[in-house]
Amino acid sequence: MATFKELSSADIKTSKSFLNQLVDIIQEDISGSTTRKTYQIFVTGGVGPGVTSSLFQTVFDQDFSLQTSNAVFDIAYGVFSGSTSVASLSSGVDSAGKVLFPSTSLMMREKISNYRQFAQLLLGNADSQFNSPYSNSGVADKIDHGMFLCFKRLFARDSIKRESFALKFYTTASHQPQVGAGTAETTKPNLSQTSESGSTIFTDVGSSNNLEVSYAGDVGNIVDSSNTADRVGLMFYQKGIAVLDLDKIMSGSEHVSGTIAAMNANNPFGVGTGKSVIGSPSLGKSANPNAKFIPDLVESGSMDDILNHLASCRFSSGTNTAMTFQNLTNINSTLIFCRATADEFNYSSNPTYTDSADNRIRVIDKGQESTQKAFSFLTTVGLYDANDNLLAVAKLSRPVEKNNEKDITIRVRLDF
Amino acid sequence: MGFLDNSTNNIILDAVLTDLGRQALARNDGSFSIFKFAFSDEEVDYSHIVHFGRTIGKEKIEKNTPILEASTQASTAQKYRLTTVNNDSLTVLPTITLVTQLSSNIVSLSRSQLTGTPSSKALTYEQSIAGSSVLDESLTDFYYRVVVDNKFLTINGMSPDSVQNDIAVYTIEANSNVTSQNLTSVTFTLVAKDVSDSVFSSYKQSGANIVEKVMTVTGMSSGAEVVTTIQIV
Repeated sequence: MATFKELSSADIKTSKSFLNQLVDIIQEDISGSTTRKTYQIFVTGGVGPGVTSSLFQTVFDQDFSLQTSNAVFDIAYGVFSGSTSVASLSSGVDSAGKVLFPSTSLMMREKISNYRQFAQLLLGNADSQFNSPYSNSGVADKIDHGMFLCFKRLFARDSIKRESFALKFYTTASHQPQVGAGTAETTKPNLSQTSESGSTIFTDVGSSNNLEVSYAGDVGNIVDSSNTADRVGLMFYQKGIAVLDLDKIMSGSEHVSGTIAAMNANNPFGVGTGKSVIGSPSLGKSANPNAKFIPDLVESGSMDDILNHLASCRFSSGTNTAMTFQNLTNINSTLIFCRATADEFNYSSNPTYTDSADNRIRVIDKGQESTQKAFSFLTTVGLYDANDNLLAVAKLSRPVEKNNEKDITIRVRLDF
Repeated sequence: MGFLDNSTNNIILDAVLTDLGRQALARNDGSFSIFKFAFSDEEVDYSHIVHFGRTIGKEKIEKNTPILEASTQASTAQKYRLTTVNNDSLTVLPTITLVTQLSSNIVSLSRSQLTGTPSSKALTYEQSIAGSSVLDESLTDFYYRVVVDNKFLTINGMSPDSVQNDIAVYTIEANSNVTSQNLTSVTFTLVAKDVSDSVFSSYKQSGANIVEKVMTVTGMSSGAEVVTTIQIV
């Protein structure tokens, strides 16, 4: 008698499969202040109350103060150290090699560091510059100002699936005119006003046609869906990181107006200390009345000012999808074929299997012992090691009869 | 654990690693090696066959037995294993009974904190079969498996085969005499361990200075099982 049956090598097979899940990120999760977490990492000293800012922000799928929330992606901005804007803005390099910038700019070294970090991770060299398209690129394809979207592993899993990514982004800022003013200035500062029109869908369509591989794994070009020849960024699939060229996905030359953080001890125009006004020509309040998003905002704004604008204004703030992709999870499976021949496992040690009074097997009717044979039902498969340790258990959704006229093979799949 | 969905005709298999399986994987020493399998039928009530007959009874079992999800606790995940006997004409199966006379069928032991020395109890279990029929030889138990709580109990003069989560498993050879009915017995001495008052207090019953444990004795060949209640004071 036996309750175990040994498995042969023919009974154990391995296979590899994958699972795709669709991920939707809605607009208000990106734009909302309760679902987007900032970090007071960067702190200035010196003039005024100082400036505090994040180096990146994290978008959650619900109020991030709730324990049930999940971080969906991080958003960061970076500027290439060799870009025109850095070259024209920089006032030189100190004896330690630190790049110097005028006081009208903010966090420029941190913006450069961000870019360098992504370049090192994704291109293998911190000094390298992202290009879109990834290969065969020209001068106009170089990404100076990058928006980096880093999807969390919970959602990106092993990889983002090629040709599944799409992003709805407002290329233009709010243009709502000032009532009766007759000027180009908007009703409210457009730095913090949600864009009303001008959305474009950027996608990695066509990336399956050229399976390019980078230092950081598979890479594809992100293009304008209405003109796929217009390459605006890169998607690094295994890393789950999208790099978008801000010069291409937003109208950088548009006028910007609003209040930004600044090293300012005064209270300029009543906006508060530690702040400054950018691009307010009619009121003459700004040191830079003709400010543009690029280069003025990305140079003068703190990381939080830039990211707040991108996240809260450029993705809109409704319940529609702002971003979507499919992830890919690789599943390595062991298939174990548990085979029972006709004469195996036809009895049970279940206490109800026998009559406690006379030990008679209950599934055989009294008086029918010569014609009826015992049978059993199986509901559970236990997988054991050689020392009788139960390593895995599988349950059938309903009992299956086993008798001496039936052989059964149960295929148990263990996924890793 | 909930029930598995049995509303479709497809049979779905819900498989999980047990705590022992995960431990073996974590050890990373190759000890996670599936070597054999066993079937079992924990949820099945075969008295349906008696109540409704073989045809309807089978249908009742197949269609009206909700199956629980797989348990990850190795010590309880598979209780009633199906057995293979090279004789398809069996009509009776043996049971295991406790021969030692006990008050209320409960083994009572004392800790050394109370008595100076931990008390022990010699217990004898035997295979039994109704009437005078002779047991199929393949069902004669020459070894018995005894499972006890390792924190409070031990078996005199023996080392456990394994201890997992404070559950000790012993394999004990049957007494040498085999009856004319091919039945065996096993005798061993159960000993209460020297447990401190604080540990005892943590595990004692509410409102009584008693720790109650169960001991399972299983025939290695027959698969028959008996559960005995142990009370430690």
